[in-house]
Amino acid sequence: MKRINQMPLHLMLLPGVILVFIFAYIPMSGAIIAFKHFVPSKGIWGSDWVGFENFRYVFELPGTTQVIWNTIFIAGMKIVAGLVVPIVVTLLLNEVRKTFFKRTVQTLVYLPHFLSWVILSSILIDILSPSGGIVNKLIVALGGHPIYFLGSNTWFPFTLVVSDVWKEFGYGTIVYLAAITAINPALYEAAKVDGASRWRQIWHITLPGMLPVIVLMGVLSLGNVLNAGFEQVFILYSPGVYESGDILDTLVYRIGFIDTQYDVSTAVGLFKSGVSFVLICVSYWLAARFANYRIF
Amino acid sequence: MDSSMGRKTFAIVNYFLLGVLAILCIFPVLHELAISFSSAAAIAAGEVNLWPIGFTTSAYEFTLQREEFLHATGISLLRVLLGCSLNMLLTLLIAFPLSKESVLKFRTGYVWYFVFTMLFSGGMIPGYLIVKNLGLLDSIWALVLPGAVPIFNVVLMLNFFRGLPKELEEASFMDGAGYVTSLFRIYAPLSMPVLATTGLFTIVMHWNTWFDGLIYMNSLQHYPLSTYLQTVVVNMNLGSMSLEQLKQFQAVNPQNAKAAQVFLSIVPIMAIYPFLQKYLVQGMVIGGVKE
Amino acid sequence: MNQRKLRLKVILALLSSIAIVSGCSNANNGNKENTDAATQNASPTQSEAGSSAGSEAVSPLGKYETPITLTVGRDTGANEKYPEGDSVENNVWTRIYKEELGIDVKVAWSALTGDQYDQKMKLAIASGNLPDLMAVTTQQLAQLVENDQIEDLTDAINKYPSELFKKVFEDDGGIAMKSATFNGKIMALPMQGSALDSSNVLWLRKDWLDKLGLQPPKTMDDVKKIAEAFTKQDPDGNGKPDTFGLGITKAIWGGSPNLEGFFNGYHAYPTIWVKDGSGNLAYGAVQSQSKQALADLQTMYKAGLIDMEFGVKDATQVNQDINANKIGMFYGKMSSPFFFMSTASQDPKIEWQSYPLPSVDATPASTQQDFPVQYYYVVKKGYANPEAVIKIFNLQLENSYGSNADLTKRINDQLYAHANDSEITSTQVVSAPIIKGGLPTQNLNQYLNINKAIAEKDESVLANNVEKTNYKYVLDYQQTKNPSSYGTWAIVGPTGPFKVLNDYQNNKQFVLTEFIGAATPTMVTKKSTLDKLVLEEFTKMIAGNKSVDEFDKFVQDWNKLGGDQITKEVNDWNASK
Repeated sequence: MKRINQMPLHLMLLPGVILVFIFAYIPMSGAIIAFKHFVPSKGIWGSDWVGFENFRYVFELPGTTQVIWNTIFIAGMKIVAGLVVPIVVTLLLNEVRKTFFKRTVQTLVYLPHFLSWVILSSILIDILSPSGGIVNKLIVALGGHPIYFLGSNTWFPFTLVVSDVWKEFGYGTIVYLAAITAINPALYEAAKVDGASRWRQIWHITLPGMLPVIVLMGVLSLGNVLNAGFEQVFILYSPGVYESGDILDTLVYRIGFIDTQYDVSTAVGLFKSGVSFVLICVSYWLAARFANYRIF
Repeated sequence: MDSSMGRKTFAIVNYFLLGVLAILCIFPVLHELAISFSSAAAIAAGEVNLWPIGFTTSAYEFTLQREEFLHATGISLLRVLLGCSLNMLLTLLIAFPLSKESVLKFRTGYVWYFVFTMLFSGGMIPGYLIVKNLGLLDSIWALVLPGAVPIFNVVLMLNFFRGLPKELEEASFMDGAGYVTSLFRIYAPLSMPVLATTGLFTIVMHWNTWFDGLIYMNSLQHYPLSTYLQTVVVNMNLGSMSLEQLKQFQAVNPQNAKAAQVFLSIVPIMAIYPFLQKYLVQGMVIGGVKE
Repeated sequence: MNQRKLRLKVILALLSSIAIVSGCSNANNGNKENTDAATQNASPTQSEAGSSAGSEAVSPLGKYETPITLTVGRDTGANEKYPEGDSVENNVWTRIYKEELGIDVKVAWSALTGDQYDQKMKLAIASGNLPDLMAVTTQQLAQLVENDQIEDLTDAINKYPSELFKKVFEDDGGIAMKSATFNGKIMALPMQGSALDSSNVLWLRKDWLDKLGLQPPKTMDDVKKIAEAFTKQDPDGNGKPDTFGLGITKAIWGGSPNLEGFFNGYHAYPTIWVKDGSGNLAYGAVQSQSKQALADLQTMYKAGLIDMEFGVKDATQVNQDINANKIGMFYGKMSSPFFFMSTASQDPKIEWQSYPLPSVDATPASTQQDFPVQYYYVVKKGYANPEAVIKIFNLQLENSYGSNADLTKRINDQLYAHANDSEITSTQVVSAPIIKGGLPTQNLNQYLNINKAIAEKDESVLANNVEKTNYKYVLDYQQTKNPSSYGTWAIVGPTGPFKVLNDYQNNKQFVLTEFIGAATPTMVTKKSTLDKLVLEEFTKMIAGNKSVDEFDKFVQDWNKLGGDQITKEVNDWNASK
């Protein structure tokens, strides 16, 4: 096969490369602020070098270990649930024959994405109230005891994850539904001819067809492994659940409240990025090495 | 052979589950809608559930009358227009070469060049400095250029492109076409679902992002709608209001103004979404070449 | 923290709330201050531009012959409305500054008061992009001084103050200026507020008290009894056990409702620095008096007198409960009516009444007060005319309180040009001035004058436009129960909280924080951890998840986590004052 001139491809990439260089890589050099004691009048470059001092400061604060554990736990659960739920919903939606119903549900599930946590917090406090909220009324009707979802350390992380997944799963379903449409219909026809049940069709055709996108979304979501969701947690947490709900970002926020410590917050950001980067690299390498598959 | 009983049961259960899910999703939105039409007193007392109490349109009047609101909407529309066009074009231009595994030299290098920036950033200050030094402060370009390359969308699209059969392109090369033709005449038209998906995402991103408006724009008059809403809604600082303003506050409790604002900002997206849905589910109809 | 700024701004808002006024004249009988500004302005002095320390007559309101420019980073109000063609950059005040003072004010950037403004201000500092004039917080001020980024204002303040300016900064005993002084140099112009206005009061549903045949509370025992009655005896008469005795939020401190007032009743001052028995400074939360307060709160919580979900509810939700007739008692501020006025104004049967803080023993309770200054105006280093800032403030004060009829008329003619549009007038009078601040007893005087006018049927005691207008609103509500006049009446009316504040002032029943400096080094690194500890432990103790006997251990932990280091630093600061 004659190799045709590649130049057009490189030229196509050029504008993107330049823009990213200007707006991502140049500012990225400013991340060096994480290793300095930032004094605004000296600017980023003129401030004194302090090495890992900022990192050490955060990690030596009392309770940081607990906070990091909380962050990983909550973020981890969100990543898993955030993968599984949209996939399941997409598969269910795919089985729906009535287009109108399908389209309506698709539209409706995207709506929560647009409501801010400020608004959702009052709703959540209301429905999760242990003394009259709908959810607990249901639990009691089914024979259980009321649960203090937002106020107990046992339940708070769970509440965070469920409400977040509820808010964002619509987004994932869009991607997966688009992926399903790319599956060749001929495959389904052939399978039917072979007598495969709907379930087998899903298992052997739909899911494998979605697999590249699922893997992609999964690996990219590793980028959030230390991002437990600042805005949500900040609005919903309270002193009674600091123990299980305090995350890295809320900790940094409270530190910065007194003094705007950009050096410390950048250091924490770098730490988070570093961990994500390592995880993504490892996943990429594993897939390349063992499945000969490039995730991206 | 599927028992039609089994299928029917499944279908019923499926519809029920999805229906419940949809209701769970729409309930808070209806609640907000009700609040936006309710009176301040009723909202303050927490009486409003799914139906307005003390029906009033004052929240909407208050919002729509403000010249700043309309102006901010205009800015957001402009931002979406410029930003999304740029984003979509760049997404295509970048995803296409990157999808040419084993053809493009340094492909993996390029990919990591882009993906790396999704993970690492210099933070708010360096970002602000670069925009400032380029003289873009207070202009629409400060909202459009920094995010011009949406890496996530690029990766989605490149993934999709990879899945298209190579024969399509090879056929066109035989006819003497080049890569540019291939991209715009063959790949793009076949990619409606992913184009619609990334298109939706970029529209929503540009419509909803508010923080950049706050730091790059120097006055409330230049805020896009999302940033403007933050000012009117989230940070209504009682303390800075005079007794007169507070009296107005009485009539338009932040919660109903807040709700009205939320609505007004959701409406455009919800208008576009059904339109895009058509493309989202468009199957692959490949003229003549089927695997 | 934002709640405190909120309160301050309320004071300032009341300070210059609009007057939809018929006449433009100022009856200034109440104001004895006389400036010689009248003569000054009649003939603008020359050669103000580039004036240096020297022999020329310096005038507080002197105009610059050659106009000078001043760039400003400023905040804007939430609901501003300018007349056609005007904007935050070009409005009645920017024109007045130019005409009267020869200062051309250019707005570099503007952002909404509160978080957004703070964000932009900190960004400006961090990116090295200071405008000539900007308001900064205490902490930023200390940093800017340390990094030599701002001008020394000592000369300007010593040479150019008007009489009013001096009064504004002398009436508080000089603490505001003191807090802006570093090494003997005044480095900023404080945004003067009022400590008095931040006093805590106890708010009660008087109609519930009457219904249940109870007397207003004088002691903490009374408070407990009332809380119990409110919880158990169905005061709202709806047959459901859905009421609580005392309202508190998950944040515990700050704003309305708060718990500081409750603790003050036990002579504990949990969020400020006070003198302990031996003359040293100590932090209120770890004082032993807090222990009894916590114990009583725990008892109340166990008895169901406090909402069991208080730990997850923020102020918005608790205020919702207050408005829904679920809570009949809470500790708040003089501005608390703003939070219940949407329901109380509609239903005259709802009667909220404020009372002085009850005490746990024979010693009357003192309220803790916030430091009146939260923001400081700073001038960028190298700016040639720092006195311009003083002059601007002089001019604004002159217009608010001054007796210079000429000047005031000139300005008011412009300010009230759109008197029939309350939003525009409000914007022009309240939001548009670039320097904010006023007399500490501003609102107290308003209350005293208005009520004197009502009692003696004598309007001449009303000192300025603001008082005149609000007098009308108070009368309006008294006579017609007009809901839109409720807010004014509830705050400065005869039964309003200022009656309590007046007593506090006269009987010296207040405690101001002793520490007014910027955060010490250990505060910067450890205070957020310590605050978190206090919140966590107090919440646990109130909710009964921890015994109050663990209080001493809590104090030990607090010290170990940096508390004793901070205390030492605070005392060092105190010694070096």
